[in-house]
Amino acid sequence: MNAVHLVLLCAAAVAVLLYAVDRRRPLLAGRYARFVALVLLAAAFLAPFAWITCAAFKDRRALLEYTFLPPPAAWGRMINLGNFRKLFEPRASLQGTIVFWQYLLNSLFLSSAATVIQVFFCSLGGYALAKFRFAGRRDLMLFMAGSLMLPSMLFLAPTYDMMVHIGWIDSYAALLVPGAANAFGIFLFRQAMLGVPNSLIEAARVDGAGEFHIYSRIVMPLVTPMTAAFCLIVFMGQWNTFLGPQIFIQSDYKLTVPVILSQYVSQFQEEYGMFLAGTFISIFPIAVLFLTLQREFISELTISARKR
Amino acid sequence: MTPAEEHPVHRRHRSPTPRWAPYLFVAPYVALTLVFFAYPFAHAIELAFYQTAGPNARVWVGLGNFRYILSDPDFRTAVRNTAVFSVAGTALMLPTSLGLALILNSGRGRAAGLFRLCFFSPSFVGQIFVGILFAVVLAPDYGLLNRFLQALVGRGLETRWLENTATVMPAIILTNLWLYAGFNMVYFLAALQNVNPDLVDAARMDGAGPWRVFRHVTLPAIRPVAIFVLLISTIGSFQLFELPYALMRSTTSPYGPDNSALFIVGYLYDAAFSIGDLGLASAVGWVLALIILTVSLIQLKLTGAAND
Amino acid sequence: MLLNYGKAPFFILLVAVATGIGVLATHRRYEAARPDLVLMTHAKLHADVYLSRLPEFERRYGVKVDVQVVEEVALRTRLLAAFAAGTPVPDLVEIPQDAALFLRGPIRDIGFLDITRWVRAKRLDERMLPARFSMWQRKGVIFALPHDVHPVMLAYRADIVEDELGIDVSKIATWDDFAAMARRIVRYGDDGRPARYALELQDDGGYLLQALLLQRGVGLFDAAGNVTFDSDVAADTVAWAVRQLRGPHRIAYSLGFGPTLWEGMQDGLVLFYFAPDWRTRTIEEYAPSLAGKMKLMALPAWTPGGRRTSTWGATGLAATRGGRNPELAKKLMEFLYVDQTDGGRSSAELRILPAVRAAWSLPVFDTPDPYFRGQPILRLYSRLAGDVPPDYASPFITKAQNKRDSAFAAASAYYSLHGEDGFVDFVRAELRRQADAVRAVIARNQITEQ
Repeated sequence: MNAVHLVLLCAAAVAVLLYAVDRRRPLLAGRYARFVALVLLAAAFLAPFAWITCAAFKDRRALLEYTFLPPPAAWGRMINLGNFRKLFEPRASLQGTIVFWQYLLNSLFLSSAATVIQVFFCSLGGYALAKFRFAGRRDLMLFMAGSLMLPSMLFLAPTYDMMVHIGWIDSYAALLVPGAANAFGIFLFRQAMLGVPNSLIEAARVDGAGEFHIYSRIVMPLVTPMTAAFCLIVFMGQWNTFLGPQIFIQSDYKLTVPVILSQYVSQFQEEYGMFLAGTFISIFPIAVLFLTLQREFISELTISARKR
Repeated sequence: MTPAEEHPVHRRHRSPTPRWAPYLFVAPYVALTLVFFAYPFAHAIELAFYQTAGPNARVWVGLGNFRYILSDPDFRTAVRNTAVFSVAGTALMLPTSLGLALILNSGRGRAAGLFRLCFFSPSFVGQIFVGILFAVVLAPDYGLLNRFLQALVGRGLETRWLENTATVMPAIILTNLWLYAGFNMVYFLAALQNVNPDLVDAARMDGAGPWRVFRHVTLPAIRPVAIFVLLISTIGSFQLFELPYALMRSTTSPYGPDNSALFIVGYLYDAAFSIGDLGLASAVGWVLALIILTVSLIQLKLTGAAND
Repeated sequence: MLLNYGKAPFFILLVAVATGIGVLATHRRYEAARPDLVLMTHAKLHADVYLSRLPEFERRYGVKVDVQVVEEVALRTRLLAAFAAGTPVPDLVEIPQDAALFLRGPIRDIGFLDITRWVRAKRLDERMLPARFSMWQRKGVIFALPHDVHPVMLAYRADIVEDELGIDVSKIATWDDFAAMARRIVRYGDDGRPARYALELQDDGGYLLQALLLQRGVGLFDAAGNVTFDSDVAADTVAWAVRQLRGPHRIAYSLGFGPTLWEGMQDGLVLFYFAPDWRTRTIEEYAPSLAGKMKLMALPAWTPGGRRTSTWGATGLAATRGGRNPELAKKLMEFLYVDQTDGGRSSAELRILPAVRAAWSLPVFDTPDPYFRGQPILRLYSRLAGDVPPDYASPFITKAQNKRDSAFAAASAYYSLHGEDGFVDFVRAELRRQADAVRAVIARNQITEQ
C-alpha cells in the first residue's frame, strides 16, 4: 500500500459513492469517471515532463535517488540552479566564448525563418493546385504524393555532395532553402483553399484584380486558421530537427539547440543534468507558440474535416 | 461539399483566367524540387548499382547490391522488426488516439483545452530528445517507469527494457505511442466535429447504446480522417530511425541486443556509415521506397479510399 | 498586406527579422580571423585541455589554431561526407577507435595523411608504445598518432571489500581466485538484505567483454585483417562471462552506463569495476560520495603469471590530406601528443597516460590521489602500460562489434533456457556464425584495396 495505491483507491471510492448516491442519474458518475480517466491519462503523459522539470533542478548527485523530488528537508542541498548555471557558462572556443543564448538565438532564427518562408511558398503552390486547372496538375500531385513516401536518409549523401558544390556547407541556406516549398505544406494549403468559394475569386477577376492580388488579399485571409496551424507544425519541426544541422553546419557558433544538447549525452560526456536543463528550456518557445495558436490549430482541422 | 476535384466555373467574361498564373505559383516548388530533389534522386538511383569504398572508388555491381540485401539475414530481421512495429504500433496508436479524442470530446468545459495541451505536449520534444530521455525513464532499478510499476503492482523494478530482446520492441512502441498519440488525437478531434449531432440523437432515441452509436454513426463519419491517420502512421513507421537510435545510445549496440531494434532505415544507415558502402545504402533506400509504396497502395485499395 | 496571412505568421515574421539581425550581429564576431589550423575532436575534455596548452604553440609558431568539438556520430558522418565530396576538411582530426571506418577503400583514397615516413624518421613508433600504433595503420601505412595507452585495472569499494569484509586483494592473482572470493560475498537480495554483486559486466557483452577478451589476446581482428573473435579462447571467455552473469553461482551484474551506474556504485550494488585510466576521472566526477572509499588493483590474470591488464578505448590524432598546411599540422601533433612541455600536467589532469614511453617516468604521475586512498594511480597504470595487449584496426570494426555482441546476447539467452546443456557447443557455433557473417561482408568487397 503506497501513494499510488492510495490515490487509485480514493478515486474508485468516490466513483462508487457518486453512483450509489443517485442511481437514477448515472450522468454524474459518468462525468466523474470521465474526468478521472482524463486526469490519469494526462498524468501518464505529463509524467516524463514532470520528471524533466524536477531533474533539471536537482543536483546531479541526486538525479536518480528520488523519482521526482526529494523530501522538503533535503531541498536546500539538492535543489538548485546548478545545471542551468553550467549550461549557460561560456564555452571556450577559439573563435571566442560562446554562451547558450547563442544557440537559442540560432534555433529561434532558423525556426521562424523556415516558418515564414514555407508559409509563403507552400501557400502559393497550394493555391495553384486548389483553384486552377492546368496541364500536368494531376501528374504533379501524384509526384508530390509519391515523394512523401521516400525516406530522407536515401538522399543524405548526394545532398551533402550537392551542397558542397553550391558552397552552402556551414550556411543556413542549406537548411532553409531546400524545404522552402514542400509537398506536405502544399497539400495542407490546398486542402484549406478548396473551401474558398470560387465566386469570390471570379468576382475579383471580373473587377480586374491581378492574380497575386487575389491570392494575397482574398484567398489567404480566408485560410488564416490553416496558416496558423501550419506555422505551428513548421516551427516545431524546425526547432527539433537534428540531422540536418548536424550534417550541414560545421562551425560551433552556428549550431542549434538539439545538436548542442545531444553533445552533452554521448559516450564521453554524461552531463544528463545539463541536457535536461537544456531540454526544459527548449520546450518553452514551442509551448508558448502552441498555447497561442491552439485554437486555430484545432479549429482549422475542424473546418477542413467538415469540408469532406 | 464535394471533395477533391472542383473546377472553376467556365463562364465567358471579360478577363479570362490568366493561363500562366498557376505555373508561376508552382514554379518555386518545381524549381526547388529539380535542384534539391531531382539531382540527389538521380544520383541515388545511379549509386544503387555501384559498390563504393572510401571517397572515390566505385565499382559497377549491377544488381549485386540487391542480391546481397535480399539474402542478408540482418535485412530480414530489419524487415521483420519494421513490420512488427508498423502493425503493432499502428494497431495501438489508432485506438489510443481515437480513444483520447473520444474522451476529450464527450464533455464540455474549458478544462478540455488544458487536457488537449497535456496530450499534445510530447510533440514539443524532438525524437532525439525523447530517445535519450526515455533511455533514462526506462532504466532498470532507478527509472521512472520501473519505479511506477513497482509501486503499482509490487514488481518490475528490475525490468531491463532496453537490454532484453523481448522487451525492446514493446519499449519502442510505448515510447512512440507517448510521442505521437496526442498528435494523432488532434486529427481525430477535428474529425469528431464532423459527426452530425442530430444523427447521434436520433440513434439514441431509437435506443442504441453507446457502442452502436459509435459503430454506426461516429465511425463512418470519421472514416476519411481515420484512413489518413492510418496512412501517415504507416509511412512514418517505415521511416523510423532516430527514436530507436537515440534510445539505444546508452547501450553498446545502436541496434539493440541481437538486432532487436534494427529497422530498415537503421540498416540503411549501417550500410552507409558502418560498412561504408554508399551504393549498398542507396539500394536499401530503394527497396524501402518500394516497400512503402506497395504497402500504401494496398492500404488505399483495402480501405477503398482513392482520394489524394 | 502582411496581416492578410493572419496574426501568427506576422508575429513569427517579426521574430524572424529580429533574430535574423541578432544572428548577423553575433556571428560576425566569430567569423574573425581565419585560423591557420583547425583541430576537430570528439571529446570535450580533450578540447579543454588543448585550449589551455595551445597559446604556447601559437606563440612559438605565430599561428592561430581553432579547436572544434563535434560529437562522435556527427564527426563520423561529417568526415565521411566531406571526404566523399572533397569538401574542406579540418586539418587535424582526433578520432575514436571505431573511426577506423575511414581506412576503407584504396590506400590512396584514404582521407588521412600518410605519416609513416615522418613517424619512422622521428622514431615515434619506438618512443610511443608499438602496441598502440597497430590501431592506426593499414597495410603498414600509418595514419594517426596514438593518444593513449588506456591500461585497465579494477576499481573497487575498499570500504566494503577491505574494511567491512576484511578481504586481502593482494591474494587475488587469477580470475579463479576472484570468482572464489566473490562467491563468498555476493548476495542476491532474496533474503531481505540488499543485493550485492562482485563484478560489473554487460548483458550485451560490449566493452567489458572486449576488455576481457583483449586481456587474453583475442581481438576482433588480427594484424592481417582477419576476423578472430570466434576462436576457442573467445568462446571460453564468452561462456565464462555468461556464467558469471546468469549462472547459479553468478557474481556479476549489469549496471549499464549512465545514471544507473553511479547510483549502483554508490549503493554498493557492485563492488569491482573495470577502470581504464580515463574512467577514474569519470568515477571521481560522478560518484563524489565515494571519495576515500575506492582503490585500484590490477586485473586478475587468466592463468597464473598471465597478463594483468587489458585496454579499453583508443583515440588517435590524424592529419587530413585536404589540410592546408601538413607540416604545421604535424608539428601540432607532436606538440600535443609527444612533447610533454607542461611536465605531463595536462595528462595527469585528464588521467590519461600518454603513449610516449619516456613520459611515464614523469614525477607528476606519482601524485597520490585522495579519492583512491592516496594511491598514485597513474604510477600504477604506468607499471602495467608496457603490458597492454595490441588491438588491430579494420574498417569493419563496428560491424564486428555488433556481431560479437549479438553472439553474446544469444549465448546469454540460451543459457537462461538450457543452462549448461550443450552450452559450450552453442557458444562456439554462435560465434562462428556471427564471425562468418562479418567475413561475408568483407568478402563481398570487390574494390581493390591498393
